[in-house]
Amino acid sequence: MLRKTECMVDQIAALCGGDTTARLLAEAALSRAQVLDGLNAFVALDAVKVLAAADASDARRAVGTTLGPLDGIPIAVKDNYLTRDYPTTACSNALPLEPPGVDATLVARLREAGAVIFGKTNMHEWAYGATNTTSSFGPTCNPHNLSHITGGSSGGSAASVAGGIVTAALGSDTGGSIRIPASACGIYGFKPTYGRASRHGVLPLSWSLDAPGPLAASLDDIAVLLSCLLGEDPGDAATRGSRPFQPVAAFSRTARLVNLTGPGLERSDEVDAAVTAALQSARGCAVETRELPGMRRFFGAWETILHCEATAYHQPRLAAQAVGFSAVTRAHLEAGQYLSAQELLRAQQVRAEFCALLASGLGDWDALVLPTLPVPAPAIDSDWQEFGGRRVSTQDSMTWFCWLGNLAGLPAVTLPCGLSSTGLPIGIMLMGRPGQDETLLQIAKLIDTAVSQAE
Amino acid sequence: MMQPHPLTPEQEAMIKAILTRIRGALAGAPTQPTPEPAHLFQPVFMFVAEVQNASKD
Repeated sequence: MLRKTECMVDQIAALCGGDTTARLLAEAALSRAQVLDGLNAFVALDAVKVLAAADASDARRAVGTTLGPLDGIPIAVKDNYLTRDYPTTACSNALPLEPPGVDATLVARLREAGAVIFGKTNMHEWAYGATNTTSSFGPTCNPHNLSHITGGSSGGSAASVAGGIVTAALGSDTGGSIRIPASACGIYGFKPTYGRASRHGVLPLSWSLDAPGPLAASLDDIAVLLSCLLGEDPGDAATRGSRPFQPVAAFSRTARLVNLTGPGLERSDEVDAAVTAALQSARGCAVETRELPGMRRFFGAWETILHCEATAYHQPRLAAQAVGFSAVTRAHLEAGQYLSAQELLRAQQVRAEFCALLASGLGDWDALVLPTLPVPAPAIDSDWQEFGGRRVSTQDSMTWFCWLGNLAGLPAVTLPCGLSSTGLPIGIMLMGRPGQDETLLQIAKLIDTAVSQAE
Repeated sequence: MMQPHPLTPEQEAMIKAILTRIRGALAGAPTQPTPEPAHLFQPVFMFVAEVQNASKD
């Protein structure tokens, strides 16, 4: 396995204890990025800028003026976040119209906490896909097997963490784009509740589904990152009234987990076995299996909202730079032009029906459980996947479960729970109640502890 | 309407497949309004400063 055992919290402890420096961490990360250049994880990485930021961090630490918990930690950023010192392309030849030279709010918050921005990572073009094979910079390769996809759209961020280049990275998630590559690469990914992480300066895919968030090497890393990232931002009205992340004590009562099944939620046998084993070994959890009806209709609602909002956002670019988009991305955007206002409103009604079902139709639950992906990371050249009696396009197999969390705005986390027969990671996903991101992380720790002890 | 960069037959087929799938999925959708859940019933304005300034006029 390529992933180093070192986590971000280990790096923080080493920096605080004087056992390493920001420059040493940066040099190690740059060296590993060079060794693992074949992953194609980065689309922009400037060693001079990285080392200058690391030296500034060491200078602050030397005089006792560190900025925050991330001071000196290298963190990679997905190429759809605006950054003042790197270009932002969304990995497309149809370029953003947004002004350069500014930071997205979450990038600014990383810098305010002292982080060393470690380049921009490869992604699926405009985040409009979940394989990371469609990018103006070429496909990203899975660190566990270079001939397999990372999943996407935050594939470069996931590969950079799973490859041990950095311990944390930023991604964005509209139908699973944080959780999908995190699972496929065997790391941790967290999609916050809609409205708790600012979208300001993150190039949109679908503004009522988008949620920016972190990928990292451990759940403790995720907690530190969320503490620095979440909370109200005047640049994003959806965050109005949202509170910062406030870690809570370990889960003290039995966690009620609902394991979702039914038509549209099929998965391969080995994925099912790994998830079942993780749930059976978790202490402090009561697991109930329930069928979730109406999957086809709910997926149709997610897809309608996605296409309508993406096309609305991209309309000026589509008119001016249509040939800049890849053939597939352009087709998706063109499709959105044929959907009517009535169809969008109908989709919003179905969305409300779905939220109501989750809120009261499944009983009293603390977290909903699904595999993150129905299959391990597919081969880069595979167009179709077969599982549970279904034949599904590789693209649809990636978002198979994850879009549920975006349609309802729920917080969701993926964590590794095993390896396939071919040595590829398998992930388990937990979705929590809206706004209960802190509680969800504690429940995830119950599962993570059980999985770690079983290894 | 003539497009400056016409779509390929493959793209046309992809668009048709997307629309067919979506419309088929939503065919049985409810026709009565359903209340929005509280956590989604919040503004998603892209330009909050403009909205705030407008409210002062």
